[in-house]
Amino acid sequence: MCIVALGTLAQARAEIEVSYDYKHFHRTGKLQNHQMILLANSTESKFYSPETEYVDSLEYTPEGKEIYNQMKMAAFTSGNLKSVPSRRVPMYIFKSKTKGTTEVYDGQSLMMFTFSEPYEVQNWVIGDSAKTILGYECAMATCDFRGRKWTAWFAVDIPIQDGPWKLAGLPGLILEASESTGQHHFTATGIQASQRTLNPVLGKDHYEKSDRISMLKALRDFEENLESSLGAALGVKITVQGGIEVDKSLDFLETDYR
Amino acid sequence: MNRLIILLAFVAAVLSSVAQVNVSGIVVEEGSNEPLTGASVILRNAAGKIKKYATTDPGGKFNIATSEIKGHTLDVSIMSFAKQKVKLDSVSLPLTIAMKPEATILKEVAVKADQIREQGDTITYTVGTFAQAQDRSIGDVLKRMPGIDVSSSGKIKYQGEDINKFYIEGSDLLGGKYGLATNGINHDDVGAVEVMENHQPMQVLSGISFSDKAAINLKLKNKAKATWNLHGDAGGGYCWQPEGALWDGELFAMAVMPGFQNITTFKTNNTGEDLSANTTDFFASRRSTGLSRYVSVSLPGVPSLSRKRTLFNRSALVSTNGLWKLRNGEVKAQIDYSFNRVTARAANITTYFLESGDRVITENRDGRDRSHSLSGKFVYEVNQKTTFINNTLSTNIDWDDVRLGVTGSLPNEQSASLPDYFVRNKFKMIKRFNGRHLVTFQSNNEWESLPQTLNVSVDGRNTGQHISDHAFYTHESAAYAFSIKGITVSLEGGIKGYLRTMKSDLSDSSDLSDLSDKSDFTQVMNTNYFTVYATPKLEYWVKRVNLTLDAPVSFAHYTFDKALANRSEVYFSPSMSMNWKPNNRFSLTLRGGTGRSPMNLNMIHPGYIMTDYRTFKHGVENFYNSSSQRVSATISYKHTRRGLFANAVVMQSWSHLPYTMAQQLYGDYIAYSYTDAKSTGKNLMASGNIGKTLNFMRGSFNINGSFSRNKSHLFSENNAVNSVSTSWSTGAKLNGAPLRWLSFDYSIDFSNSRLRMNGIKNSWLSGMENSLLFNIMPHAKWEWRIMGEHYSNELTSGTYKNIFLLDTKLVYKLNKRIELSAMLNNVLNQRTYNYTTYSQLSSFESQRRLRGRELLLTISLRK
Repeated sequence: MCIVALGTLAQARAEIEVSYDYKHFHRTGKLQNHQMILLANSTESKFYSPETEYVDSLEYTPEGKEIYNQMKMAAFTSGNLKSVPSRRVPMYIFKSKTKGTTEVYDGQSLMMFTFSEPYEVQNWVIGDSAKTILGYECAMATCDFRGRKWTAWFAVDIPIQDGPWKLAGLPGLILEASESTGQHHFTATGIQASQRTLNPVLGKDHYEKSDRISMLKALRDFEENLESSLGAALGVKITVQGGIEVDKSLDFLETDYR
Repeated sequence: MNRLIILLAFVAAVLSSVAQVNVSGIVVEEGSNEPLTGASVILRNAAGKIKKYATTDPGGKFNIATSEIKGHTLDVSIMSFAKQKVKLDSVSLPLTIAMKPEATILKEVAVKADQIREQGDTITYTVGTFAQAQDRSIGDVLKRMPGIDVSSSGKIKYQGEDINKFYIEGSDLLGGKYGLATNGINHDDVGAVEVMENHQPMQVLSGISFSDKAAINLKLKNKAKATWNLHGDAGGGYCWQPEGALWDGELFAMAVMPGFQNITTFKTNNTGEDLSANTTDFFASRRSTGLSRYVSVSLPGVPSLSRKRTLFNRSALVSTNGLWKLRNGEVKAQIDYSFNRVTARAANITTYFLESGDRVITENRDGRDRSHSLSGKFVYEVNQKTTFINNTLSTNIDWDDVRLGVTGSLPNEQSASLPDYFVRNKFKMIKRFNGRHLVTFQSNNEWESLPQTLNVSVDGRNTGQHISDHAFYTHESAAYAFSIKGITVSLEGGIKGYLRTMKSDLSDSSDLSDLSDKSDFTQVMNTNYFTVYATPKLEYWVKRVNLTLDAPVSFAHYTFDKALANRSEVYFSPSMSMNWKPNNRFSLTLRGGTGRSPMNLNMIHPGYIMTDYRTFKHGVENFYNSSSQRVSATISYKHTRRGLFANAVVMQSWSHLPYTMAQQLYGDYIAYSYTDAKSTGKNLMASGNIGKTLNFMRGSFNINGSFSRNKSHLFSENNAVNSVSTSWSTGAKLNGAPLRWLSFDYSIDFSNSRLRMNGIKNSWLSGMENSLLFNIMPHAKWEWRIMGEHYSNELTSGTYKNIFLLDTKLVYKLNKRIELSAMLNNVLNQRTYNYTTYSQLSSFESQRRLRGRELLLTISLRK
């Protein structure tokens, strides 16, 4: 109990809370949009899906698990499965300038991995363009990062050198970022002062220890052989009539694993 | 040579440009000199363009290598510190930059949690996303949530149906008096509102008995839990009509702790706010003692104008409600006292439409009503999966003294004393065995006494009507139910006993000889019965369909102590309902019923009772049964992610009575009695409602409509009168906060009604009400509210009475705890309001006073 309390005290508190729309394509070609949250102060940040965190918090305690099971059962009997929260984007990114590390939790709902990598900022080139996002004047910057060409818009008036996902290091908060193929796009939809603590991941046990390249390769493998992978993951044989159409040009946020 | 010079110059230029300058330094906090990590350091050229940038390391240090610094500036910024600008022309490197703490003002755009979330049968509304600056109580915010409707009394409906429970953090502290919570709890203390659809409050019945009602649960914010929350207002001011001082005060205390909950409130005002609604029990079951007042002296009321404009009151209310959790159950105690003094003045012209020509009675009424009400309720409840026990002891004592003076065609003075004493004990126990068998025992005992005294003084002559009326009711029942594969069969059996004595006496009836002889004004009635009944019930509940059939059969024996012949009757009144919920969004309910029932025993009295200074009622001299049929359909649809809620209800009912009301005029008196003619009534009602969130401006939108058609029948002056009243209404509400400094609330309601008598149609008469509120927040500490109300009521066909009322309020928020406000109501000082209404056989024209301009200064405090 004491240890938990101390642990809570030690956790950093955010200074701002930013909500982003994360628009990206499912591998079946369907455009998806998920809300993501960035909690950040000058040195630490946490980027995550509030829905995933909600599910993790439910499954963290036996009572919560019971509630979550009831929710799933109710949704199943009423045929409204979409109403149940689930780990649709099981991503958590913890960036720490003081520790010099980026802790990553990622994957998809059936295969989730975690690893730590050195904290690294992109090699940004600041351009001349400007636009206004959420009332903030933003400057443009571009970079190449792990196989993709990113364009970001950052607000000098918000002195937090952070942004969505692993993007960081500009002299102001990144409010919008997109990569050149249009497959991934982050746009800020809300920003407010916040005192929330950067709680650690509650559902750590669901994530398998790995490293970045192995994870990306494993996920790719899974998707290339979806039917057998699903079968293996769920322990049943699955055949989809006509197969599952997958758009092979679509890829993850990082493509340098190939 | 020249070439060499040029070359050298070029090399020098290259060298000088290559010569790197290291702009380095340390960023620290002013005063403490603690290094600041993560500060943003931006090098800008003379044109202000970003040349290079860096961030400070864990030691607060930064280093920017650049070729040129002439005219350049260095911007240093970090959250929670004032931004620093350093001109690099006149500084020595490395720099030490001391940052002054200062709040970084963000241009905030709210980070939205989903406004409405749905999990199984529970829908969660995030309060913060619906609240507007002008809202105070949680009730104000509930009104904005699509699918939820809060009436002016505080009663909550979800998708058109009354809710069946109101919980605070999962505990039912207030029962049906939840108006105390909706009007009292500060919305800022509530994190979320949960609506639990198909809520079965008794755990023993879960999975066995279907409920189509929803319950509401308030989830408090952590800061409001495990502590006493207090807030209070004290206001004083001046009113121009009636001239005098104004006051308005409130104290509200709430504790929500794991084992204990309490809400205690004290309120008083003379500003036109009716406090009686605050402690109304919305779940109160009808009293089985079945008494109702014969004497009805009430102050003139004003339809179609908001009550706060016309109520001249002095009101006070104290209520304390406690809940203690025991190991297995909980104990609740509720005590309320309220005082209400209302005065009213009106000039009325009543026209009775008669075959022999219209009869006009003019009156000027001036009255005062003083009422006290004291009630207590003590509940013990165990609500577990296999056992449910509830014992509720409640008592209500009301005193109502009315005095009404009338000048005009029939000048008189009336005073009525109308106390009411009521005690009830209700016990219910349900046991569940082996998961499928249910046994229920119930016992209900009630006693009520309703004495009534009416004194009328006309031309110096006094007439007094005295009535004593008391009744005892007892009901004992047992039930057994079992359930297999979604089918529940139950049988309830029980006995009911009822003893009632009514005595009435008129002190001076010498003037009424043309109405009747003296013996008709003194009577003693005993209406007693004993009933044995059985109710078989079948409930089929599989997946998405619930079907319930009820078929109560009863045998009743009535005795009237020789006044009427004793009677034995058998009643059968089956009913059924069906609910189909193909998915989470759509629900359809059909209900129907038919049956025979005994008449209201109050109506049996063979003589006359004076009910006000010019009205006498004669009861029936026989025992009758009535029959009725009803069918209804309810559909509802919701799409929570889009914030869309819709519902519609259609209901048709028929009633058949073997007697018909008749109206007769004797001089200045009106006498009502019943004749043996059959009377059939028919009633059609339809209503619908659509609500939607408007995320782009943090608002919501609602439209509603209703239609009703009512056919009835009576005799007036020995002529049959068939009347059909038709009315429809439609309304819309819109609210939002389109700009950071502006929010608004708008509502419009339009109604139209018509009365047709014996085929002669009166014209349609309409009423329209518009109200608009703007809340302007020029600064975080200031708010300015402007509220306008416009009423347009059609007096006769094509003639409208328009009235516009304007209010304004200025609020200054000194800090989180203290708020000061100045309110000016009825700025235009509108003092009168005239209107005409039509009832079945008469028209009523009235002139009423309004509350004049009033200024109220208030200080609000909260802990």
